[in-house]
Amino acid sequence: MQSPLDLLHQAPRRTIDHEGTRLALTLAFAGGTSGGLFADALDKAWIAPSTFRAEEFANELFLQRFVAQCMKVRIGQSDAVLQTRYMARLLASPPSDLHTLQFRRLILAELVSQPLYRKSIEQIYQSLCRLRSLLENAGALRVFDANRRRLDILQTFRSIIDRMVSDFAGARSGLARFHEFAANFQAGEAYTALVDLLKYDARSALVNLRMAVGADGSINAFEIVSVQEDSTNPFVNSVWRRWLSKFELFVRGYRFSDGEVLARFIDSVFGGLENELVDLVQLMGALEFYLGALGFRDSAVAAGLEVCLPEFVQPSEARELRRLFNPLLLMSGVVPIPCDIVGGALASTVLVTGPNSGGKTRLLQSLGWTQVLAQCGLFIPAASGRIALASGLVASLIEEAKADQAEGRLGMELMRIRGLFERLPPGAMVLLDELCSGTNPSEGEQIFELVVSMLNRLEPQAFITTHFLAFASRLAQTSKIPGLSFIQVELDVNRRPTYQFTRGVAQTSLAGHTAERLGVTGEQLLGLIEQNIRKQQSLALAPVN
Amino acid sequence: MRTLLVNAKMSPQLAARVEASVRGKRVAAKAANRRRYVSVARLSVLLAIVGVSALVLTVRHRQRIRFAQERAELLTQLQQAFAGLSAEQRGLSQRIPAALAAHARVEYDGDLIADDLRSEAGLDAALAVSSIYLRAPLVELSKAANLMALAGESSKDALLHCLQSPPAARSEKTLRASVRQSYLGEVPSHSERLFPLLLVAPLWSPEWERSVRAASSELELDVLAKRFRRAPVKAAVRAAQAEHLLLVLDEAGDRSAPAELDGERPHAVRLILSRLNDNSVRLRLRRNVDPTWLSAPARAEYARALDSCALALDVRKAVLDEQASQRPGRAATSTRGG
Repeated sequence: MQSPLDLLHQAPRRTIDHEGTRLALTLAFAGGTSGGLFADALDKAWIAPSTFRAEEFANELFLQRFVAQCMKVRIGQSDAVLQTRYMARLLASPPSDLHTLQFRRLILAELVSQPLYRKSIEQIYQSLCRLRSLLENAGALRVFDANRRRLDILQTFRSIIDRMVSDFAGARSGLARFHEFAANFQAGEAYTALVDLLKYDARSALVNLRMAVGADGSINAFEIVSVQEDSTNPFVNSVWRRWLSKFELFVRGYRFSDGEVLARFIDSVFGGLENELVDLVQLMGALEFYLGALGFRDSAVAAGLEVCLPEFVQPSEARELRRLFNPLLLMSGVVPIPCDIVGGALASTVLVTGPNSGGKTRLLQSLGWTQVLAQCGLFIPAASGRIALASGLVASLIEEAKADQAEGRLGMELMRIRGLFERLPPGAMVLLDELCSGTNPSEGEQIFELVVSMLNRLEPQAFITTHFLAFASRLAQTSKIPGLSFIQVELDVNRRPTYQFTRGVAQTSLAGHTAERLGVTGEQLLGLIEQNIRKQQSLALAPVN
Repeated sequence: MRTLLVNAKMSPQLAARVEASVRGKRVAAKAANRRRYVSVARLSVLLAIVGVSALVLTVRHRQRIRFAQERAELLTQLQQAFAGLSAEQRGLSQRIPAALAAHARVEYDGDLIADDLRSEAGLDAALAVSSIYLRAPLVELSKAANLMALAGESSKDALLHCLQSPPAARSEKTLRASVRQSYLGEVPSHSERLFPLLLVAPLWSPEWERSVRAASSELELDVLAKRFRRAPVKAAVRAAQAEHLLLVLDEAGDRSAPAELDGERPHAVRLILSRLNDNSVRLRLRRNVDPTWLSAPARAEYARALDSCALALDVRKAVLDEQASQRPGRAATSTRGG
């Protein structure tokens, strides 16, 4: 058995259940299934070890939605139907192995630099989709010619192999594995048998005819001049042997027909490529991963934004993100406004202050996705980036009230803090939105200061938003907590957020502006009250019919 | 057994996979078992068809062999049965009707006793020679009617018996004893009836042998074989080898006279002894018979037989009378009765 075709890991390995998938493929090839073969295999696929834990951030960053709406694979005029569960699992588990990380980055880089390679993998992916459709009998249509269906499967498989050999001969990244995998298969007897069978199907015999056509166009004479069979083809037998073969199959319990003989040949050829077909199932997941990343890039570029493969720096070096944007906003149809973030080194905590709806939470989301995508080896939503690897990601951005919650807002907040410290590994990225916001500010500040000072012991990359402006100013002035830095939402001359960030602590949350913008001033509320009273009075005076 | 789908052009790996596919090793055990059952069923049916066909062919072959054997056996029997007959003897049945017609003319040519018959010893010697015996009404025989039917009705009666074994006296009692002997067939006779000859003669013709050789079915051969087995072959062969024809013709008689229970009434009877090879007459006598001399009881039962036996004595007496006159070659001109 040759080396598996693995485009996701530096050391190639079989990530799906080989025997189970091979058996499922054999059954599907024989009779067709109602679907799910590929999805089932990928759902149970092995994922590279990771220090990230999906439950720490997947919901907070809307991971499923990101995969479904940001990583679309568009080939030609249509969007492909992806194995989103597998892609979500890959994104939720960035590999710990740096070689694998680099392996994926190099493949993406080559796909971007060599458009022909991208075109080739798109065509390979399309062929894989067709293969899946034929195997799984998508649509559950009654198959009238089972042999024709199986031959179509074999023909599609061959086209994939041939393209792998021809299109990736010069690849330098992991894409070279296409060529190596396919070339090894082409060198074997199984490929020769496949080609012979397809040749046998396409051109079993050459018949030279001579026809005499009359003045009225009717055929007056018909003569077979010669019949040539490709006698070198191993599937071509003499007439009497063909007949005896049919009879033998009849005695063995098969149908007495040429179709049954062909079915045995097809089955035997399939037996020689089962293992390679299993690798193609695994390949489908990998291709969707890369095509999804390219799809994200295409969406960003279409919106006038940029993505890149970031530079990884040491934890002691400063991080930098230029023209960072929120991909979740992009998938919502909104063109996000990119910003620049120049942070401190790892083991630093950044307090983010600013008015409501100023983009603080969106910034945390952007930073979270940047870290996840970078450590998965994919494009980050920024024009350029220098980031350090993190040991994990813990995000707490959404706090929804539960019907059965036992505590009030402060209690829930304290439980959130407790949970954070229970699961936070050293060196992780921490994203906290409005820490301690549900209680008396003076008491909340004490807890806030406690949390920030304790965080420092775990050397995290922490981004925390807060509305405790006075407290933040005092911390900035006193520099009590080492490694603590401050950024604020930038305001324009009209005191409206520009969605950029500058150093410092915001002086106001501009609640009044927000209230005025949302129609919650005294004058606006009074107007609403008078309107409701007039409405009530007019209803009371109206005659009753 | 290697499958016929594999040929020398296939690589060993491909050949192995084709083999596995045909043997059902590449599908689930349930499907393979089902196919195995179907294969066993079909093979059983095919073997049953082949077996039945072989059985039918074997049976038919044996039937053909048996048929050939039976035909050969029948032909051998035919040849053995008629081996002793010369061509002239085989043709006797063709000549007999003409000979009978010559003797059965209504006009009577008068009594005739050949010289060598003019003694009791000569008569006995002549009667000891094999002969064909026929007794029939003159009128029927003269009309060349169905000779086969007449021959069938003619038996070795008391006349023949008494001719060859004459009773000691002409008394009713003595004659009755002879008649009884004739019924019982206790005394061998040198005469054969004409009926067996006429019945069996077709069987020694070339046409009949050809029909045996040409028989195409067991049924047809069986019919021929049964006819042969039932035919009185030995009697016919003896008749064909006979030298004399002993013909007894009953003339009509007086129809006004009362007839006995067996049809006997006073009438004249002609007795002719001739050679078959040249149809020359050696003995020709005409005498009257009249059952009225018999006792009533005897007449009721044996009128014809007793009359016949008496006639036989009259024939002997005529020969003895001639012997006494010692007039060789002279026809006996007197006829008795009449």
